[in-house]
This record gives sequence, C-alpha cells and structure tokens, in this order.
Amino acid sequence: MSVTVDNLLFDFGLKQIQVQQARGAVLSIQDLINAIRQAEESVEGITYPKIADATGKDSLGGGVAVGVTVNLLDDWQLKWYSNGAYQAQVSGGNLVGGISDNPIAYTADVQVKVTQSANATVVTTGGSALTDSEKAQLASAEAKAKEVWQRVGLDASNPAKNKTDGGYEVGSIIVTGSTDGNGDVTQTRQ
Amino acid sequence: MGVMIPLTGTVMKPIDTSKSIGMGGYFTSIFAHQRAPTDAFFFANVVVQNAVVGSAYMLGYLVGATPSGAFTPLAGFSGTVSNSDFTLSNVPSYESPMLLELRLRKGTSGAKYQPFKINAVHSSNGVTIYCSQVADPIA
Repeated sequence: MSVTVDNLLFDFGLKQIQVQQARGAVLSIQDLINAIRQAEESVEGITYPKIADATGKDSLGGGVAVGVTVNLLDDWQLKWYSNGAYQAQVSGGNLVGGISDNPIAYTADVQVKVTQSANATVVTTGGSALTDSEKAQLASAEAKAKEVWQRVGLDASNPAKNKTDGGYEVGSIIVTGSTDGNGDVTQTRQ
Repeated sequence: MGVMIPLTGTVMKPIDTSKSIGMGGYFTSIFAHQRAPTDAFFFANVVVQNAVVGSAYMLGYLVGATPSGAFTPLAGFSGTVSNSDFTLSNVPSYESPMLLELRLRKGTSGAKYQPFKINAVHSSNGVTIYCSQVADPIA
C-alpha cells in the first residue's frame, strides 16, 4: 500500500519514501516531516507504526532555535527516482536513521547531498510587520546615515562644500560658521 | 430396559441406555456447539477518554497479546475523533486475553500531535482508555 503526499510517495510495504521531485529540486527537512505526519494519519498509514521521530526547534532566543533532526524509524529510507544522472539535496536539518543508519536508499546515477550538523540551528526570518513607531525610527536612522554619508563627501551627485566661515553645504544641508573672540568656530545647522 | 439388536456375529448385546439422552428408549442426536476461530469470545465496550478532536483513530489488537505481536485492525473501529470522550460499542475479543491497541494520529491540519498509541487488555466488563496525546512542535 502507498500514500502520496505532495511529491513524496510513501510505500509502506518497501518502507520507502520515494521522492518524485523535479531533478535538482531541494527537499527540505520541514517539508519531509510535514509529509510524514500526514502519511501516518492516512487511512493506510495508521495501520502501520509511525515512520519517524522528529526533534528540535527549542528556542535559543533572538529568533534562533535548535535545528530539526528527523530520525527514520524501522528501516524506512528515502529513495530518489532514477531519472538520469543528477544531484539531489536535502536541506534545513539533519536526517538520520534508516537501514544501518543510512537514511538514503541507493539509486543509480543519483547523488544525494545531505548536510548534517551536530548543533544545527534554525534562524527565523520574517516575523510580524513593523509598527508605525518602528517605521519612524527606521526612517530617522536612515536619514541620519544619509547625511553622514553626504557630509564625508561620498555622495558623488552632491559634492560637499566647505565654506570660508567655517560652515559647509552638502545636498540640502546648510551649516553656517561663526567665529568668536577666541577664534573658536561654532557650526549651526540652518 | 435395554433394547436387543443384532451385532456382527451371533452375540446379542444390550445397549446401555444410561449413556444416551432420549425418551422412551429412542435414540436421539446430540448437538454440540464448537467455536470457530473467527467467532468472538465476547463483545464489550471500549470507552476512549481525552482524545484530541480531529485525530484519526484506529482500534486493533496485537496478535498473541504481546507488544511485539502484529497489529491487526478491528473492522469498523476507525475514523475521526469528533468528541474527546467517545465509546466504541461491542468490540469483539478474538483472543483471551486480547491486547488492544488504540492509535491516534493528527498531523494534517490545525494543531498537530505526535503519533500516539496506547494498549489495554480487553475485558468482558468493558475497558476505559485514557489518552495523553503530546503536541508536535516540529511538524
């Protein structure tokens, strides 16, 4: 009996997850464990023991979490279809287990690249949108950074001009200089 | 009183009617019921408690009543949990004792849970199974 979830065919007799992705496509560990859980829940899948365990995603703070490890149980393996010579890739976490600790079944002419790590992490990207206050802070910081960039003469379209009174002009910035009795120059933005 | 019938040869022997069941000295047939292997020993309810609504469930038993026995689904006792507490009525017992196994899976939609299974020995008085499914933060 078999169940197909997305591009993965679960053959419960052979205990193989047959990958039917396009050549060169990357199989993510997250997609793999999601599909495994769906297959386990299917009418056919529930008659068999679970396929895999998964661990990880413990928060380390700052949007970083422990990486995901999928452990294929009971001699289950991943197998890519034979479709000429090509390289496949598994990414986004660790993949362990399988027959004699080999989670990938042999397929002629197919090389599977699996990146393993003893301390893999997951970095969360995206998240919630900025608030209005955060947007204002970001815009202010950008504007100030632009003025510093122009002041040091790095803006080729707005050359910086040092004035004889001790002031300077660059872009929309006008700074005047005034000299006191001690010869000290005070610069004031206009 | 015995009935005399001819046997092989010349010997006439009375039949011992004390070993037969009947009336008036007539022979009667004795019927016996024999249990077929497919017949259940008994039927009893299985009460399931604290299952997560939306989970797929399947009830079966482990052949030989050992944890390593092959899982054999019980026909008609699978589906989707619609109430956290529910009763599976008239569950047959094909072994004595029979080790039930309830499987719960929820990995498709909404909050997902790790595959769950629990065992209980079936009883003619019925059996109650309390489930403690664990959320799956990975899938």
